[in-house]
Amino acid sequence: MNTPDPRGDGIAVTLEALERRFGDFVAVKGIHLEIQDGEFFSLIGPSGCGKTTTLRMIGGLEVPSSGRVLVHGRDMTWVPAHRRPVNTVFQQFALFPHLDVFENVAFGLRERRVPKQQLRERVAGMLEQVELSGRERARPRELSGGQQQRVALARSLVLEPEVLLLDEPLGALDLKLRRQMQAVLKRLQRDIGITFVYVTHDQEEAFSMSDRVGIMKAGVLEQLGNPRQVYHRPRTLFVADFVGASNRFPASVLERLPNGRLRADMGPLGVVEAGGSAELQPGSSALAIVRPESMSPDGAGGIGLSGRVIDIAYLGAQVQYTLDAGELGRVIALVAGEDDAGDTVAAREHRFTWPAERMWLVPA
Amino acid sequence: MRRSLPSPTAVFTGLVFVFLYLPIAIVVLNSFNADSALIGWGGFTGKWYSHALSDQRVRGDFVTSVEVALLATGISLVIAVSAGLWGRRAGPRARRLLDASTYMRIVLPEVVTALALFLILRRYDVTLGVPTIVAGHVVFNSAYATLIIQARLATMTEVLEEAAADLGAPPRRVFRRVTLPLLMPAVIVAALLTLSFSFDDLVTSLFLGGTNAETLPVLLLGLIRLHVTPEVNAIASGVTTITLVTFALSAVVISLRGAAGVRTARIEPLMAEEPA
Repeated sequence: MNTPDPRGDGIAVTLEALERRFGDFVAVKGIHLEIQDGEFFSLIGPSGCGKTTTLRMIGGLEVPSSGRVLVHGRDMTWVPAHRRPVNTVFQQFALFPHLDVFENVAFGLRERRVPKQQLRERVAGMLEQVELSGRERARPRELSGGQQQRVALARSLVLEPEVLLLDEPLGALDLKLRRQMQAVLKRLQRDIGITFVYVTHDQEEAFSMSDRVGIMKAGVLEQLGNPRQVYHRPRTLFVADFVGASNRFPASVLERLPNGRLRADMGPLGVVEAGGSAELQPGSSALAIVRPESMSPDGAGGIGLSGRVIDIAYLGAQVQYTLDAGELGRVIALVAGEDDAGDTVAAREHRFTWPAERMWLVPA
Repeated sequence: MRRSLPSPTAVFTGLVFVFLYLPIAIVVLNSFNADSALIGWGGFTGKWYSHALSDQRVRGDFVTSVEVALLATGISLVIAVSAGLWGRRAGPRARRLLDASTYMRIVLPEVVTALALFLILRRYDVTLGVPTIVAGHVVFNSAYATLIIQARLATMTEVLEEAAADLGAPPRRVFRRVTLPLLMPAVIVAALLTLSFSFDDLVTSLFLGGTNAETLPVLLLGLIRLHVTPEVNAIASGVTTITLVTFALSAVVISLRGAAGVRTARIEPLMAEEPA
């Protein structure tokens, strides 16, 4: 089965104009996407954005209304799930309750009529890799959530799929365990080197593991890129909001400079030069996005505003200031570290500044 | 409340139970009554049972009853499982149609169904016998079995079957390795229930048995038309016992499966933490 890349172009999954309608509702609207071999790719978006439907179409659990799904260049659009070289880890693990851990992991190998001896070795090896040796005879209900999760992973990975699909696999775990499992997943993916396509609504989770992420909204792929790009250079306001908190200030684009940056009039903040979404044209109205952690209280450099501090929240590693900046509205600033400024700026006018390169314009 | 007097409702309930079960108790009692005229208690005897057991007609009818019950149960289960699985996929209108046809087979008077079948079979000169009785029993038994299977399916998520397909199992193997094992408790209960319903059915067996096939309940009806012999009591007690045992078995299966936690098709709530 290991002839994964006949075209040799290093692309594991290709989606071409993929679309899925349920009656009048369009769950996925013509998605184009190429996922690299060995990549950890995440699809993120709010619930109902079509990310799970997209994943299910790659797995063969959902049939597209139109478009194509290719795995390593082979057209899989009409291939049923049981004949695809991909496997899925389901949100609720979906372990077979009537089978023990060993048989759950051996399930797919038995379908492939793997000889007994080899089957036993492969299951044992896989269970060792997910640190479940010794629990072969346990039933799924006797395992903790994290253990069930690892059985679900082992059950799929033992088949050496060309692509592993993961549908919110950590959604059922509590926060601490989730962080632990993220590390396990990332390590496994690096060790085995197969392509992971991961679906989650938790952008932090996606960012911490992924090489690239795709943000979906209402069936459309809004933006594709590595976590850093998506966070600092969102294409739309939706993306900016979905991947993190932001302050927004109205701006109108004056011109696009030769270096690709934009000159924009930001009213009380003056005329600034900043990067921005490629869709912006001179004359279009925009919103300037500034992440709260980009704002500094020392009043030095770049663009700045003054406001009355109306709330200070101590978050441990960071302190969050809420400012009333008059006509600019509420502004949030996150300041790293233990900061004595808290006492001095409370209920006073205070100036916060940020460098222009930490500001990004998106269409309003 | 005073403790000394039972409440009127308790008394009334007690009377109802006496009224319901006393006749059956008397039948069982008389099956051991040595007084062949059944006027008084003539002492304990097992001879009516040995009479009944050595009677060729009784033995033949017993075999027919068992045959009918097994066949009717087998066919009913196939119909019930198919209907249940199809009902999951069906659209809302088709699903309503399926449900209506299921409930109708339970609600319609058995005598009407049996009569209708009888008239149709006669119209087309079908010879009455074991196959026609089986067909008649399947009409209502498959409906009961469908309800039981559907109840079980309602608690099962399809994600387990999707997982099986995802792991490489073609549809038939998904059914064999996942769907059927998860349905098994319901299948067993449905089987025991339909066995007992079929075994003690009178109306359908009477209409559709013709002169070729006679089940035990039909025999009993024939015997009491002449006169009630103590042998009748013995046969009736035998039928009761077989029915009760099957029924009790199904109850045991339900409680055992329940205790063993085979509600697990629903995905179990997860424990919050790893055990140390």
